[in-house]
Amino acid sequence: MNQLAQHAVELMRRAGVAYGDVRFVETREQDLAVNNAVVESASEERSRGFGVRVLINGSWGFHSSYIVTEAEIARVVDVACQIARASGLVADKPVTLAPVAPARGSYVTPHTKDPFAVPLADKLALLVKASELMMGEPIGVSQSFFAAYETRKIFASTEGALTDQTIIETGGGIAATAVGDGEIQVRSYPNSFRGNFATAGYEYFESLDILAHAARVKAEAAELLKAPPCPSGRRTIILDGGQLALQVHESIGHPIELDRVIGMESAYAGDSFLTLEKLDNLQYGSKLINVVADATAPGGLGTFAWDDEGVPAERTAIITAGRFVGYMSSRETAPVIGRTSTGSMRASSWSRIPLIRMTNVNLLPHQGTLAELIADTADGLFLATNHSWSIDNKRLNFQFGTEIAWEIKAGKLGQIFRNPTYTGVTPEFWNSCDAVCGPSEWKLYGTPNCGKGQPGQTAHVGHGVAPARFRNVEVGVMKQS
Amino acid sequence: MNLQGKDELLRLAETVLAASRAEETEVVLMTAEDYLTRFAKNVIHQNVGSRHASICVRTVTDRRIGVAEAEALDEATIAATLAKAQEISAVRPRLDDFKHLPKPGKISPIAAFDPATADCTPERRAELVAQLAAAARRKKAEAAGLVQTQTAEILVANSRGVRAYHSSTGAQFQSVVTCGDGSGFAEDQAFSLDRLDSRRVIRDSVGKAVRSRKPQPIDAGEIDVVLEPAAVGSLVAMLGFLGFGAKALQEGQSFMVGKIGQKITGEAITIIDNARHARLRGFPFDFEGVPRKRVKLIERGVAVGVVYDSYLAGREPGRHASTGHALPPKYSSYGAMPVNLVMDGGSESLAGLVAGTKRGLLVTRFHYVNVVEQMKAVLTGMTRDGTFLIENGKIVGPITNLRFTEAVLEAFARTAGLTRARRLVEEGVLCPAMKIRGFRFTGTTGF
Repeated sequence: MNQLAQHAVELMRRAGVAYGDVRFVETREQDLAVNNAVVESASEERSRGFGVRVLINGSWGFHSSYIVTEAEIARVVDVACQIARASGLVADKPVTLAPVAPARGSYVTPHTKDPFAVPLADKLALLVKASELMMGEPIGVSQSFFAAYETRKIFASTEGALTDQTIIETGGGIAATAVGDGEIQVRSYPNSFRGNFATAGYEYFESLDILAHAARVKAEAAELLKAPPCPSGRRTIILDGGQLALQVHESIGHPIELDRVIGMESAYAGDSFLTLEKLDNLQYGSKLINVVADATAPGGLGTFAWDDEGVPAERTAIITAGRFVGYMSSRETAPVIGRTSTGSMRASSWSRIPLIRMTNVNLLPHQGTLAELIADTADGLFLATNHSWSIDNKRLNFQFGTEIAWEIKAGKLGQIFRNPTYTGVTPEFWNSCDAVCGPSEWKLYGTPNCGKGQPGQTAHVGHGVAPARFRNVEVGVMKQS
Repeated sequence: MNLQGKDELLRLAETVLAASRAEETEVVLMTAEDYLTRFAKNVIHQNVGSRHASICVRTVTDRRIGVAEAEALDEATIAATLAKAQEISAVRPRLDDFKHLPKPGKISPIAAFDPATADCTPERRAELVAQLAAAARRKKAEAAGLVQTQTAEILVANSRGVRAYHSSTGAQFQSVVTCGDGSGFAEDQAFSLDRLDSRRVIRDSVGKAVRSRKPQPIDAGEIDVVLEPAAVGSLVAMLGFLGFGAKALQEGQSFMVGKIGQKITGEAITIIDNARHARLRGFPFDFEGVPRKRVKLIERGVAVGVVYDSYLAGREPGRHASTGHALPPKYSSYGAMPVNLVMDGGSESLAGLVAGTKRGLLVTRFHYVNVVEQMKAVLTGMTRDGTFLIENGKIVGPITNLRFTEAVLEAFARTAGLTRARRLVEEGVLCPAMKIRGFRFTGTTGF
């Protein structure tokens, strides 16, 4: 495909584009789902195609196709140029790109076991076993999941870039749903919505040891069915890693995307409260809040060698001691703040343009263990595992629900509550943080379902977090009926 | 235009069926060509196209099912996809509830293909953007949104005789206009670009942005609302996802559980799934090639039924047949879903609903609606792009956005009027505007 890539670049040069790039992408995906010990889904999908992005007279055009032949490449380059010229009919200032040295090289996700080489029967047997362990009253739905993705991308540009990288992602998990008296309650491991994922091989899925957690997951789901609803009020809360990862995702990860900030996404997912004058000026959170966007973090679901503009992976400071110091940017948007690209552009497939996507937006650890943090809390709630999420189009007012809450009294976990929710406003919430656990509790969570863009794209992104404590948070806002 | 045509897709499908060693085999072939012109701040900033084709093969032997999919239609890929499906089938445990792939049913075609839309140029899409941008500039406003044109075809064939083909086009125009701190939204979609009411989209989104400048905060709490169709549609679509599929019902996870035949919401509420509605023009069959039936879900507030695919119907033998709502095989674990929801309207006009409101809010649409509590259909979300205070039957000014957290079926039971006019909204739902008494808002924000 390298030759085809160079052919596409040559055609773009001949067409007189100011800039052009091509991505050839081959993907393979395996999805397994077991429900009540029955294999409900076992599928494998392959995709292959290419996309051509051109800049003509300062305007973009993009076209793509599943037919990988020289003739189709020529047609697609032509149409991409026609589309770019049409973009120029409704244009203003020409797009300029931040400089980057042309990338050359190759990369493969470090892994020890190819997830596709593990016999399907073995994987299914494990999932069925996990599901069986969670079955029995009052569990109505006992699910186990596995998924693996392999994505090979060859990127070439008219500036001379040529990279070849293969990203391997693996993950899965279990969930038990207790059903009874018009109520359902779910517990999941290691995270909700089909588990947790990493850039890694099958060894990552093995490390989750889903069988060892099945009995606890079942028991907690059953207990939740009988538990009282979470009471409302202003409370101290401790968030576990799974919930905190999504809190970081929604209220830090998305607002720092510079394309949102300058209005490029305003019609769909919205823009951001983090307007440009807030850079280096906003106290985003308390002094304990240190956040980086780190595409180099081993195992993170947003880990790679180059982004889809050929910009090398980097670790970017986002929040330092609570102060907002950096956005995630692209070559097009970085000049707006006088900086270079942070290497955040990724496309979900060959048929999509790259957008600014989170890499691994990580809340850095501080000190202590979760046990010590709970022991240090006189009165509060420990909320675990995301169940529900919603945030406004500027990323300020959020509301989350978790699968379970434990009451904390005098430094000890007490009774559990069902249907816990909490709500807040982003900077107020992060400024209310008075404890973040240390490195021993820090863990990477993978979010494989981050939506953005039109046409829609689903990105795989990561968040490293350790449990943290927040004061005076509004809890239990849900209508009880 | 990228259509392969019925004959060519049929030829490819027959080669798969002939080559398969499985007891039963199904092949789904799709091609599509999508173009989307996206704009923000009155300029086109993203402008994309894509040409797709895919094959999905499902094989069944001894009730062991294998599914494989690939994005190409060359002979080697087709052969490899069939082989992969059979390989998966060989090691997958038996699915005892599975009966058979469906037999053919009578499929009446739905006319939803417009050649002019299929051949739409990027210049034509840019022309619509230019008209909107000019209107926005005249008001010192900025437009964002999209113009999209699509072409698609699908063929479903199986070894029990199903041969179903459909081709369609689609067009969408969506506008979010900002004017200072004001924001307005409008959209339209149809199977043909020429049927889009672009003048209305431009007029409404620009006008609403201008009128929603300088919004004032109000406290959260229970207040009457007039929800425009875009806001109603996002609630109805979520109800469809949560509760109108047979899988959720069978597994005890739907708000319909134990309530079929019982009243679950207000008498004013009737929701059906109807691919044949003239405004929707959906696919005439599902991803198993079963004709889509018109399914009553809620009728005058009473839970009536849910949608089925052949597998879920087979789990209730003698009681249900597939209603033609199967998802693609790779998504089969999600069960059957309604995809052409239609909500009955009433006798009011939007102006009449506003005029009849002593104190309330007019809501243009909601943002990021999500589930808080599934069994009670408790949803949360934010208002956006034009929220206005109504006092004594008149719109008195814009307000800052609010978060709602509400049990939607209970809220629908407090319906105080529905408009006769209905709109097809982004989620693919055809619905009216409606007035609800005492809608619960639980949070505020500063914009």
